[in-house]
Amino acid sequence: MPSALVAIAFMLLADMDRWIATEPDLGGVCAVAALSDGRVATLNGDSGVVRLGSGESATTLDLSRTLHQPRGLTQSGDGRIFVADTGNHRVMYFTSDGAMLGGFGGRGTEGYRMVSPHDVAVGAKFAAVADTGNDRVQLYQHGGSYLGSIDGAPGDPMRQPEGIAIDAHNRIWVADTHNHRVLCFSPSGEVIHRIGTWGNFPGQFMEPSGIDASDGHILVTDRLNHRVQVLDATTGAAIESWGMHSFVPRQGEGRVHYPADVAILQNGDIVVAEPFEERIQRFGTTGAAIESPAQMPPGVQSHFGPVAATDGRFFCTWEPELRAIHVFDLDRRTPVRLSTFGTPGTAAGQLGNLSAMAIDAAAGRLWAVDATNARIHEWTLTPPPPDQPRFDPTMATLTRSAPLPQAGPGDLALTGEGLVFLDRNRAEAWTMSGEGRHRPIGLDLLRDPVAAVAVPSETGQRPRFAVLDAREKVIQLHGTWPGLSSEARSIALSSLEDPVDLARLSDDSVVVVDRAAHRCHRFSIDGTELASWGERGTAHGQLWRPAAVVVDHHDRIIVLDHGNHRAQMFSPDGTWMMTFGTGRAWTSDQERQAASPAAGTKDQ
Amino acid sequence: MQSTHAVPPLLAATLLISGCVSTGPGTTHRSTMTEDGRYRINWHITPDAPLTPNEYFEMIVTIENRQGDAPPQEFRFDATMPAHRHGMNTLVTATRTGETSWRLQDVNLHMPGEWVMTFDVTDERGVMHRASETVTLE
Amino acid sequence: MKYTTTASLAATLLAMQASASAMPPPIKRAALSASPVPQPPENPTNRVADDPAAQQLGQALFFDPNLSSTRDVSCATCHDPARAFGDGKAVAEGLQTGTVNTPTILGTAHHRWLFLDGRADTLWSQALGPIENDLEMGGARTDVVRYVASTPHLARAFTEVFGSLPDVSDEARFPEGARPGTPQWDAMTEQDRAAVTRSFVNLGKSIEAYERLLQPGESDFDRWVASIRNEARDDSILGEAAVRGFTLFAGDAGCMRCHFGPMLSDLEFHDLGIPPRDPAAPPMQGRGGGYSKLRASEFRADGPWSDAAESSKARRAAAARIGPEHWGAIRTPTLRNVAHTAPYMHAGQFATLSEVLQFYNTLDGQVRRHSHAEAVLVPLNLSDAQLADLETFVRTLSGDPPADALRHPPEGFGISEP
Repeated sequence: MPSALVAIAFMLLADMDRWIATEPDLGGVCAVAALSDGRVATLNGDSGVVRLGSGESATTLDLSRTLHQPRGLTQSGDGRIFVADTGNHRVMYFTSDGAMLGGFGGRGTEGYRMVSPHDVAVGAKFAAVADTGNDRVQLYQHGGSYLGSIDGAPGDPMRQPEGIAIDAHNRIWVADTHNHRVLCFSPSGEVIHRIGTWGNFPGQFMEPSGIDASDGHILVTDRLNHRVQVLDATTGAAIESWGMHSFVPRQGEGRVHYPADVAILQNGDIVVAEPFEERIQRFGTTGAAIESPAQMPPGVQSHFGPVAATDGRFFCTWEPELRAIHVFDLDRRTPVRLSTFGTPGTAAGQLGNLSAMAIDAAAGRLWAVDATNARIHEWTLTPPPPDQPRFDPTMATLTRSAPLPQAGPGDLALTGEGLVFLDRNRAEAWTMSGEGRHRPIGLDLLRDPVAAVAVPSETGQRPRFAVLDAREKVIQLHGTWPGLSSEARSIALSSLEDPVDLARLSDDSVVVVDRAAHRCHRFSIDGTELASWGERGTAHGQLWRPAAVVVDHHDRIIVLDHGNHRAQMFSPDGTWMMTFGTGRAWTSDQERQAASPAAGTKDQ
Repeated sequence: MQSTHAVPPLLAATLLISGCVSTGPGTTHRSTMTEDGRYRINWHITPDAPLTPNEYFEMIVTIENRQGDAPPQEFRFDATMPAHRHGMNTLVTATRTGETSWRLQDVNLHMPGEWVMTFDVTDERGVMHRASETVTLE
Repeated sequence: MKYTTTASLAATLLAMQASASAMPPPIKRAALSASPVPQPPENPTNRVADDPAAQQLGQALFFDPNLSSTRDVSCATCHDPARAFGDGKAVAEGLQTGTVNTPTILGTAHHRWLFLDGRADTLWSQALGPIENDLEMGGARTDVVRYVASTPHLARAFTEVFGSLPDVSDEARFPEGARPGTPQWDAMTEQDRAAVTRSFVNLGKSIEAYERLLQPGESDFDRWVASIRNEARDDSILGEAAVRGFTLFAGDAGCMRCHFGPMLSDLEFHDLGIPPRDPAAPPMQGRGGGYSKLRASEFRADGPWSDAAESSKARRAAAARIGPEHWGAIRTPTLRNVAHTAPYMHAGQFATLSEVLQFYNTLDGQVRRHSHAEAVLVPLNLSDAQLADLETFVRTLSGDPPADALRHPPEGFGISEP
C-alpha cells in the first residue's frame, strides 16, 4: 500500500478512536456551546433557532423573530443564553426558556456598537464580544456596561475575529480569523500569546473560527484546514489536531469539513459544529497526537469560495484555500479553466477573503472586493483567442489596488457606466473603480442587502437594479423595469428560508438561490414563480448549500454548489446541464451515454 | 589557503519585456510603465550585470509621476513565478534614497523559469499602481 | 581511491562511437553552467575559514569521538569518508536513531543554508549542532572545551589559531554536562558561559575550515563539459546514454529547475510530497520550522559569535521570506556523487536512484499536504529507456574523492581511525 494511503488509513483509524457520535440533519447549525447541565446547545444560523440538548429531549427556543443570521452563542454562569445576533449587529440574551432579557450593541463603529459580531463569551468577571466587522474585541461588565475594546497589539491589528473564549484565569482567547492566528490577551488587553500564521502545519491556521477554553487546553476550529487544533493554554504550543477531511464532502463520521465552532462539554467531550455537513459531531478527549496533514486531493483544490461573477462568457470564482481566483471560459463544450492567479497576504494587491467580484473581459477588467484587507483590486485580462483556449497563469495582471474605508460582505454590480458596490454591513451602495469608492448612489435599500444585479442603462436612463435583501426576504426593483406596474416594485421571497444571491436572465426574470433549502427559484419581475429546482444531495442537479448564482449570455444558470465543491449549470427551467470544477466536467450528454446511472458523487 | 571564488560562467538571461524602453547603456537598464500610465519606473541592477538565477543582487529604482507632481507615498518590489505559484525566498529591502528613488537589496530570483517582477507604487491617496515585467531566466 | 561508476565503463565502451551531433544551445549553456565546481564562496563570518592551522584542528575534531557524551561518536561516524562522507543509512544513527537522512558533506561549504531544514546559516554553526544533539553526539560544550583544553595536541593547535583557552578545570564553576537548557548551565555565571561558548564556537569554525576542503572531485561530467568549453566536445567521456540523459535532465525532464549550478542544487527548499517514512509521526516542518530555529539561534551569522555580523551573508537570514510553501520544504540536495549517497530523500525513503526516478516519473504515493506543494511537479511519464539514460547521466556526477590526507584523522593528534 502506498505510504500516503497508509497515512490516510491511520488517520481514519485515529479519528474513529476519538469519534463518539454524530447528530445529522441539523440544517443551519453554526455554533455550539456547553450547558451547565452537561448538555450541548446548538444555534441554527439560518433560522435563529436555539436548541438546548439533543434528540427528542431537546428544548427548542424559536428566536427567529428576534435574531437574523446569528453566528455565536454561549451560556453564562447564571444560566442565561447569550447569542451573537450577527445580522442585526448586536448581542441578545435570553432565559433558558427563550424569554428575551435584553441586548446590547447595534450597528456602528463607536465603542459600544458593533458590526457583524460573530461570537460572545461570558467569563467569571466580564463578557467579551468578537466584534468581527470592526476588527476588535469588546469587553462588557456582566450588567451590560461597556468596558472597552481590544484592537490587537500596536501596529498589529486584528482582522475580522470570529471566535472568542474566556478561560478560568480570565484570559481572553481570540480566533483572529483573517490573520490566521489565535491571540491570547490579559483582561487589560496585553498580548500574552500570538499563535500561528497562514498554513496547514500543526500550529498554523487557515481561518480559525470557533474557540473554546477548558482545563489548560484551547480548542480551535481551523476552518479552511478542516480540522480541530488543541493548544496548550500555558505555552500556546500546538499539541493535537484531528479531523482533516481528505477526499470528498460527506466523507463520514470522524472527519471534519469546514468546522465553524467547538465547545468543550462538562465531561470533557468535544462537540464540533459543521454548517456544511449540517451536523454536530462529538469527540472524546483522548485520541491521536498531531496528525500528519492529509493528502491534498484534487477535490480539496476545488473548494470554491462563495463568490462568483460572469460577464456572460467568462466565469470567475475563487478558492479561499489558495487565495486564488479561477477564470473559466464558458463558451466551450465544457467550461475551460483559463487561469488561476492570486497571492495570499495583506499587502496591497495580495488577497485576503474576497466578498465580491465582477468581470468584464471585453473591457479587459476584473475586480474583487477584499473584505480582509479592505481594498478593491483591479486586474487587466488578456484572454486567449476564442479558438485557442489554454491555461495561462499570467492571463490576469494586477494593475491597481485601492483602499476602502471599510469592506465587508456585499456585492459588485456592473452597470455599464461603472461598478457599484453594495455594502451589506452598512446597507449602502457606492460607485466604485479601481481607484476605490467614489460616491453613494441613491438606492433606497432595506436592512440587509446581500446581492444586486444591474441592467445597463438604455438611451441615457439610469441603470436598473434588482437588490436582494436577506433580512426582509425580498427583491427590490429599482429604476424603470419594462412592463412593470408601479405597484410591483418588489418580489416577495417569504417562502424562502435563506436567499443569498440572485442573477438576471435576458427576459428580466431573476433566479435566486436559497442556501438553507438547497434550492433555486426563478421569478418573473411581477413575482410569478417560473421554475424551482434543487434538493439537498450530491448527485447532478442536487445542491448542497448553494452560495452564488450567475447567468451567462446563453441564459444558462450557473450555481456555485458550495457544499459540493463544484459549480452546476442549469437551463432556465431548471434542467441540469452540466457539473464542473477546476479539473473535470460532467455533461448531461455524457450521463445519458454512461452505462451506469449518475456519477454525481465523484469529486471534481 | 586563500579562498578564491571562481565565478562560474554567468548564465545568459533572456529578457522578455513588453512595452519597455531601454533607458541606459547597461545590460539591465530598463523602464516600464504602470498599466494606467501614471508612473514610469526606471530600474537597473547595480553593479550592472545580467540577471542570473539564484544570485543575490541589488537594484536602483527611480519613479516618474507622469500625471502630477506628487511623489509616490510608498514603493514595493516583488517577483513571482506564476506557473509555480510562489515568489522569491527573500524579503526585498527597499530603502528610499530620494523623493523618487529607491535602492533594493536582497533580490534573488532563485530558480530558472519565467518570473514576473512587480513594481508597486502607492500614490498620495493610498492607491497602489502596479507595473509588471516578465523575465525568463535559464 | 576513485568512486567507480557504471557510466565510466559505459563511457569506455562507447568511446569510439561518440556522437558529435549538434547540441541545442540551451542544453550547452546548461552544461557550461553546471561545471566546474568553483572554490566555496567566502565566509566572512568565520575569520579562520581558510586558515591552514584551523583546518588541521578542525580535521582532528571531525574525527574525534571524544566530543560526544559516550566518547564513541564523531562527526565521521555519520559522515564517513568511505561513503562519500555520508553513512549509507536511511536515517542517521548516532547515539540514537535520528529522523533524517545524512547528507554528504562533499561540497557542503557551497550551501547557503545548512541542515535539511536550513536551521543554520553558516557551516561553523551547523558543525556545533550535532555535538549537543542527544540523537547524535549528546555532548555538552563545557565538557568539549574541557576536553580540548586537557588534550595537549588539541590545546596547542587551538591556542595557535585562537589564542588561549579558558581555564575550565574547576568543575564547580564549569560543571560536567553544562550546556544551554541544563541546570548546570544556568548555575554558571554569564561570564563563564560566554567564555565556554566562545571557545566552543571556535571549535565549530575550525571544523568549517576543514570541511571547506571537502570539495566534490572532478567527475566525468566535468571532463565532458570541459571538452565542450574547449570547443572539442567529446561525448565518449560520458557515453551516449549519459549524453541523452543530460539532454533530458536539462531539457524536457525539467530537473534543472531545481538541480542547477555547479552543485546541481538551487541551495533552496521545496516540498515534493515525498511519502513520509513514518505516517504516524508529526510531519517534518522543513524550512518553515527550520527558519524559526535559525532566528532563535545564538549562532546565527548576524549573531554575537559571528566574525562579520554586518556582512551581506549575515543579512541573508533576516532577509529570508518564509511563506506557506516553505513548511515541509526540504533543501535541494546536491547531485554530485549522488551514486554513492543512497538511500535517498530526506528520510531515506527510496533505496535506489531508480526508485527516485520512478517517483518523479509517476508521483505515485505523493503526499500533497497543502495547496502550496511544488505546482510544477507533474509526472514525467518517461519511458524506461529514458529513465535509464537519466540514471546513467547522474552516475557520471561522481568525482574523485578528496585527497587521502583529508579522509583520515591528521597525524599527531592521537586520534584513531573511526
